[in-house]
Amino acid sequence: MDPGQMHAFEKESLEDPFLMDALEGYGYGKDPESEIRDLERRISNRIQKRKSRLISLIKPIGIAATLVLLVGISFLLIKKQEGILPKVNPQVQTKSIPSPQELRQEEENPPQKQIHTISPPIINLAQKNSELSKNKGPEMDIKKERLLAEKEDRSAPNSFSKNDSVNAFKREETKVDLPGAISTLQSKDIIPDKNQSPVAKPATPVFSGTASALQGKVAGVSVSKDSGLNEVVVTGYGTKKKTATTGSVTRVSYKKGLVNQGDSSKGDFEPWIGRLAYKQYIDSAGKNAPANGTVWVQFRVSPNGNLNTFIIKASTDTLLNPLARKIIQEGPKWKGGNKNYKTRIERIVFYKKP
Amino acid sequence: MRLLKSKPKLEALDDSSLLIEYQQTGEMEILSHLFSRYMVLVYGVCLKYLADPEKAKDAVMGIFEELVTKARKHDIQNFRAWLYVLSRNYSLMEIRQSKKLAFEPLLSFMEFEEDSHPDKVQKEMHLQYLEDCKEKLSREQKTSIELFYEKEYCYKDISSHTGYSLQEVKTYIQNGKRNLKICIEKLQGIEES
Repeated sequence: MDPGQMHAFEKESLEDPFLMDALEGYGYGKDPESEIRDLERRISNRIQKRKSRLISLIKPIGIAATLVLLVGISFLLIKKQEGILPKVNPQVQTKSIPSPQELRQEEENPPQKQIHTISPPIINLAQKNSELSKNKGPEMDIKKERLLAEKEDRSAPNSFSKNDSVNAFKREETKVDLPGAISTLQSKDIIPDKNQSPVAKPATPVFSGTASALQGKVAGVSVSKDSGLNEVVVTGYGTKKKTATTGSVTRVSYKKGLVNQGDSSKGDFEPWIGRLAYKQYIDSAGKNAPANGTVWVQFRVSPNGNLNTFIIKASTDTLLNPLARKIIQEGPKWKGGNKNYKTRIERIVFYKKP
Repeated sequence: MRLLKSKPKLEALDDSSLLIEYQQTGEMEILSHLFSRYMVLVYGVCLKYLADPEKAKDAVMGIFEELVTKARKHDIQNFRAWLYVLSRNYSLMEIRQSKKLAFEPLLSFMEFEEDSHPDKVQKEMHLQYLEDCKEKLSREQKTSIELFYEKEYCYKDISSHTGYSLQEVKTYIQNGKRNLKICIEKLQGIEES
């Protein structure tokens, strides 16, 4: 600045104490220009810090708000989907139902007599069991026999062939969770007894279950409640009234496991073929007894209907004991066994053939 | 609507407009622009009282921080004068804290008196009083005032002419001015009475 400007500046400062103090202060400074520049930088940094602080606050809040929004939208969509889509009913397995031709055939020629015999696999199993019992004698170790029987029970489903009705029966049994289900043996699997004529017609597979369980779930099934006994007869693809069915068709009413076979016997567990048929079987099997007498055989029924742990509880003639055991062992399966293996005592009356 | 309004150029606005803008929006940019107009003076004042550049710089930042809150609270008529008082008080407070000296802050608000423009007759009378009172000053004060106001010398020239130091020149001029003012007021008082 030239002297004139200096004078003017100084004159101004005399009137302005702010300017005068500042001029006095710069007397202490070493490099006022760099110091002023440093101050300007610090102030700009200060402003930037404040801005970035705001941004750093806004950023996480924004992110959090976005996440909350996304979660809320997803939740609403899921709820909406649940409301729209119907609940999926549990899968109902259908049983194999015979064709209409077979049914028509059966209607035209109803079976006169039906004999239930044991298929080879069961015979094999029974033989196996009898062999075991033979080796150990009538007073075999009950525990071992029980264990063995249980083991065989577990392996039994795999030991039968495909075409075997018992296998089918077992398969059906394991597949279908309908208590009281029963199927009769099909003709191809029935081995006719020597003394009796073979079964001419195939039996109608019949099974029953609760009306509500079957209705609309099994193809070709309709439920009739005309009987008044709350009985259901299901025949293949058509509906067959109870009255139209002739012959010894085994029916089982699901109502608490009641068996209706012409007699009014009741029980928690029964032979699958029914009490009457079972009785007939026992009578037939015991015809060639070596002596007259009565034997009481105790046995256990497994959950899948197999019999095991045969014990002679009482006998009028020990000669009859093996035969009695064999008859029960080789006899039809029972129903109503549970995980605790229900026990049953069966009485067999033998008559010596004259 | 305020968001859609275009931001006014800060350089075109005066102190009071900038201050109002800051009080309404709270934008730091506006305040920093306003402060930067007087930051040189603020630094000089802090330097005068603290006598240390680093301390003075810290004081300037402290004053700016205070400005952020106080500028929105107080009703400021003259920002420049208000900032001078704020800076002086802050600096004196710093000295007090470091040296634990008694401190009497200046009034929070101080205005500079506007220059009055007396009429011709009064002007003649004032000139007469000035001549009379100048004779009553000390030799140093009279010389310094005459060289500064009448011959329009700068401090440096007066110093080189008279042999006084720059600080002495300033002091003589300031003291001389004060004494002249007192004398003129006295004469005016006598005249009025």
